[in-house]
This record gives sequence, C-alpha cells and structure tokens, in this order.
Amino acid sequence: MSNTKIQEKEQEFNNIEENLEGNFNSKLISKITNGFKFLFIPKPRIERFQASGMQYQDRKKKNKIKGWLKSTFTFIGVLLILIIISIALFGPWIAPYSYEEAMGSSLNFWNPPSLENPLGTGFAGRDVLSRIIYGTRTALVTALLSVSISLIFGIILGMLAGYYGKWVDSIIMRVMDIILAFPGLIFALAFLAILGAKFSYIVWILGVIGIPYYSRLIRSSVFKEKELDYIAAAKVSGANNWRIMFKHILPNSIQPVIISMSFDIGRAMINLTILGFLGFNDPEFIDWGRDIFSGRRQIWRAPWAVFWPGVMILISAIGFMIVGDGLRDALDPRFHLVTR
Amino acid sequence: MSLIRFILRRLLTIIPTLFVILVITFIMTRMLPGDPAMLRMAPRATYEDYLREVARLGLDQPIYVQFLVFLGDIFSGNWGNSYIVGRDYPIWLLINKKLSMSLEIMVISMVIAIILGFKLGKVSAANQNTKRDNLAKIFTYIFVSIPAFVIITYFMQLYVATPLRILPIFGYKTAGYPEPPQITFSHIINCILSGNIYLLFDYLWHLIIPVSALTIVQLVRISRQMRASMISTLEEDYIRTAYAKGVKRRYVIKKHALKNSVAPVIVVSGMGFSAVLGGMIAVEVVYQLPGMGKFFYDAILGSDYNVIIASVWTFSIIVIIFNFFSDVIIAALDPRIKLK
Repeated sequence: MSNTKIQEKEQEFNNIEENLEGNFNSKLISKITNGFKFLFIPKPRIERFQASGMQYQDRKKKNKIKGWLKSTFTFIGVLLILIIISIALFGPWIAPYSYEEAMGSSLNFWNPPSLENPLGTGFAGRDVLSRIIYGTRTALVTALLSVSISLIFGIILGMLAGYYGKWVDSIIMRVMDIILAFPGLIFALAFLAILGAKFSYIVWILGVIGIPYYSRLIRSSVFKEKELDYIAAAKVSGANNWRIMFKHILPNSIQPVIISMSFDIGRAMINLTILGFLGFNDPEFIDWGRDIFSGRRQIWRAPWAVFWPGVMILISAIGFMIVGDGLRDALDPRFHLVTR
Repeated sequence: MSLIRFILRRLLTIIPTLFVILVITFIMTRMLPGDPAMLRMAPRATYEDYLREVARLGLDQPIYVQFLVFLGDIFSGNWGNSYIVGRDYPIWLLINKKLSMSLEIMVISMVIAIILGFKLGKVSAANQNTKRDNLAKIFTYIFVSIPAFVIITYFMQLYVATPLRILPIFGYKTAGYPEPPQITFSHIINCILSGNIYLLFDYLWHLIIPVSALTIVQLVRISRQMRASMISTLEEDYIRTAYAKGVKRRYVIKKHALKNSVAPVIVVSGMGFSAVLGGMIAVEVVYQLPGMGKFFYDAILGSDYNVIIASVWTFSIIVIIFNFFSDVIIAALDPRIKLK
C-alpha cells in the first residue's frame, strides 16, 4: 500500500478513538463490559507454558543430579571392585605378614589392634589384616571360577534348549528344575560333607548351582531371536547350526547374561563365605567365612577378629552389586527381571 | 478350568523331579565313605557278627533291591536312626518338632518380607526421585548383599561392646521356662492354647533377631524386583490411557500397575525361599535354635549320614512344594501362563 493510504487509515483509526472519547458514558460502559468479558475467559496460555517450562527445567536439574548420583554410585562400585582386585593381585606385597605367618600360630592371640597388628590378632595369633588380604585372593578366584563354570555350561545348555526346541528343550529344562529343586547351599553342604571340602569341589558345586539361572536367561532370549529375519537369512545362506548359534544369536542375547554375571560374582562370594562360616572351606586357603567361624566364640574378648572379615565381604559384594546395577541401567533401562 | 489343568500338568512334572531327587539321595547314601556295618561293630566283634550286621542292614543284596527297600523306607516313615541324638533314636520322631520350629521361622520371615517388600517397592516406584525413593534406594544398596548371619554376628558385637542388652543373643526360650504342650505343629499356637502368655512373649522376644536377619535379606531383594517391574509397568500405554481418562494416581497404581507387575516378584519370592533355607542353617547355628538347620549341621559335623539324607530329602520336598505353590499363584494371576 502507498504511504498516503496508510496515513488515511491511521487517521480513520484515530478518528474512531476521538469519537469514543467524546461520548463518555458509552466509553465507560464498553470498558466495563470488555472487562467482564475478560473475566470469563480463562488465563492466557502463555503463563501456563511458562510454569511448565520452569517445571521442566527443575526436572532437568533433578535428572542431572540423579544422573550424577547414579554415575557416582557406579563410580563407587567400580572403585570398590578395583580396590578388591588390586588387594588380591598385590596381596603379598601389601600384607605386613607373610602367608605362612598368617597361617601359622604364635602366642599373642586375640590381641587388640596395636602397632604390630594394625587390626588386631585372631585365632592363633594370626594377624587380621594379613588374613583379610590373603582371603581376598581366595574369594575372588573361587567366585570367578565358579561363575565361569556356570556361564559356560549355562550358555551352552540354554542355547541348545532354545535353538533345538521340543524334546531337547524339555529334557534340559527338567534337569535345570532338578538342580533348582535342591536348595543351593544344602546341596553344597551335603556334597562337601560326603566328598570332603576341597577347593575344586567347592568351585564345581558353586558353579553347578548357578547353571539353571543362565540357561533360563539364554533360552528365553534365543526363543525371541529365533523368529527374527536375520537368522532366516543366515540359514538360507547355508550357515550350519553351530555357526548360527554362536556367531549370530549369542552376541545378541548376551546382554542380560553380562548383567547377571556381575551380580553372580557377588552372590558366589557370599555363598563361599557362608560355606566357610559353617566350616567347609579348603583348609589350605584363607577364607573370610572361616575367620568369622573361628572368632565367633571369642566375640566378647576380640570383636575385631569377626568385624573386619565381615566388612570385607560386605564391600566386595556391594561393589559387584552396584556395578551390576550400573551396567543394567547403562545397557537397558527397561530391563524387566532384576537379578538378585 | 484351565487352572485345574495347569495344576495337574504341574503335578505331573513334579513327580519325575521327586524321583530323580530320590535317586540322587540314594546315590549319596551309597557314596558315603566308610562301611556302616563296620561302624556298628563292637571292638571285639567277629567276622560272623559282621556278616550278620551286613545282612541285617540289607547291604548284601543287589543294588536295585536296596533301592526298592530305600523307597519303601522313605515312604513308610522309617528314615533310619540318628547317632547324634541319643543312640539310634528314630529320625522321624525328631524331625517333627525341629521341622515345625524351622518352618515357623521361615514362614514368618517370608511373609513379613513379602508384605514389606511389596510396600517398599511400590512406594519406591510410585514416587521416583523423591526423598522416599532415595531413602529406600540407599537402604536397599546397603543391605543388598549382607548374608543373614553377618547381621546376627554384628548384632552380637553390638550386644557385647555396648551396654545395649535388650535382645537375647541365643536360644528360643529363657532357661527354666516350661515347654508348652505339643498340641499343634506350631510353637506359637501351642503357647496360645496352653494359656501361658509369658511363654508366647518370651518366644517372640527371642525370635526378633533371627526373623529380622532373614527378613532383611529377602525384603531387599523383593523390593528391588518390585521396583524394577513396577517402573517398567508404569511406562506402558494403558497406564497413560488411564491417566488421560482422569483416573486418580493412587487408584491407577493400585488397580492397574500392581497386579501386572507382581509376576516376577513371585518368582523372586520363590527363589528367596530357597535362599532362606540356606541362610536358615547359618542363623540357627549362630543363634543355637534347635531346628532343622542345626540338626543338619550337627549331623554333618558328626558324620551322621542318616540324618544328612533325611534332612536333604526334607528340604527338597519343602522347596518343591513352595515352588509349586508359587507357580500356581502366578498362573492364577496371569491367564497367559495358564493357557500356554
């Protein structure tokens, strides 16, 4: 539009206002009615958007704090695991007393913490600090070995059961049910009572107890994966069964297994401690549970002998559990079945 | 209708499991080191006495005949005699009282753990990222990996080191209190029926620590599982639909989310029951309760093989029965499993 026309419209607009100003009553009435109109219209949306915008920013801040907290938790867990692994690896150099002295006997038993024995002495004058350091090695090695046994056999059996289906599946699942029907530790105690408490038996029994869990996990994953298209494509390309199972299905179904592996190491350590507490550990090795067992009677005189092994089992199990939680949250936040 | 069919199908799968457990138990009896006939010989016995003992124990018959005799014994209540409790006391009479005490403690702890675990998990999932949830998370992180006997041992240390001597540290009744008449299977009901309220309170007071130790372990697992499955249920679409329809939050959680997230929790409770059996042994040993766990443990230490086998068989039956019940409950709640 040209300049003149705009000026004309402006003048018309101003004229309307001057017309209104002249007529005082009608202007006042129109102002009041306009005000009443606005009373019944709801508040403008912009304020509500602003409010929800503020809430969103608050929630973002909380999520940031929550994320930071979660990552701190996981960081603490990883730190604990690293501490335990380094204690196990560098044990003989850290411990003030040697392995033979920690297994031997001397005369100053049940001493309170002093300069020579930073955490006190235990059963036969054995230094508590060295014993918990050497006990870390036993616990870690036993837990890792038994979890690997559970993993290997559980994965193989679960894959066979899931892939071949029908009667192979029912046989394997029946065997798993039988293993599950024995309450774990009672099975272990009965076998150890019969066969004697040797290291290899303990590792095998703890491993066998954990097999049904992994086989069930893998089996349900394999059931889901079998229907997918890439398996059909692999079959059509001529892959034989083992190749399909271990090159295609296994990497895609390993994720819950990794998560439960972390929980399982903690659980294996706890089971080992309970076995040691009841007296069934290999006499050649130092075990935390065994220390608690020996110190149980002397809890009036020497509570430190029982306290520190318990602290060690606590922090190692908690470390593995926290890392398992962190892994689960990192890999799949909607994971349904919590493992322990 | 399909529930009944499911129950029948489940019973059919239980029977071969029971049979295999019997076979394994029988193999354990025959695997024990030592000769039972030789163990029963007096110092100056002759070879004819030995042969007579072998014939009496039935050890000279072929193995399948021995197995049939074993089956007959098991199912007719003749579970052998026990060395450790008097000489040759029939086990069947001993197990009655011990099993009732152990079962009572286990059932009480599991019930409390399930109820409180449900509540804790529900509260934690329904109010995520609030103070309640964070407190619950910290609580579960601390207690997620404590074995039950460590709790009891630390409590005993507390008892020792401080003047805080409120709760008893061993036994199930104070010395000198009378035993209530053995009317029913449960000690609590016996105390109530005999009218002696002090006995009941004394028993409950003694039971606080073992029950709470076992409960905390299971409570944490159940609440973690409940929280995880409720979080994944609350993200489903039908919950969003219910909110969009205007249903109040508490009602949505109670009616829709709870029922659909219960299945994995029941699975975990079933597994927790087996774990309680294992922890029960250590708790009874520490706390000196005369139950099945301590019976089994004393038999292991004292090489009383009849008791070991009878206890393993008892524990297996209990675990099978409870797993069966938990499967039936899951099937009753979730129609998809019934029809599979």
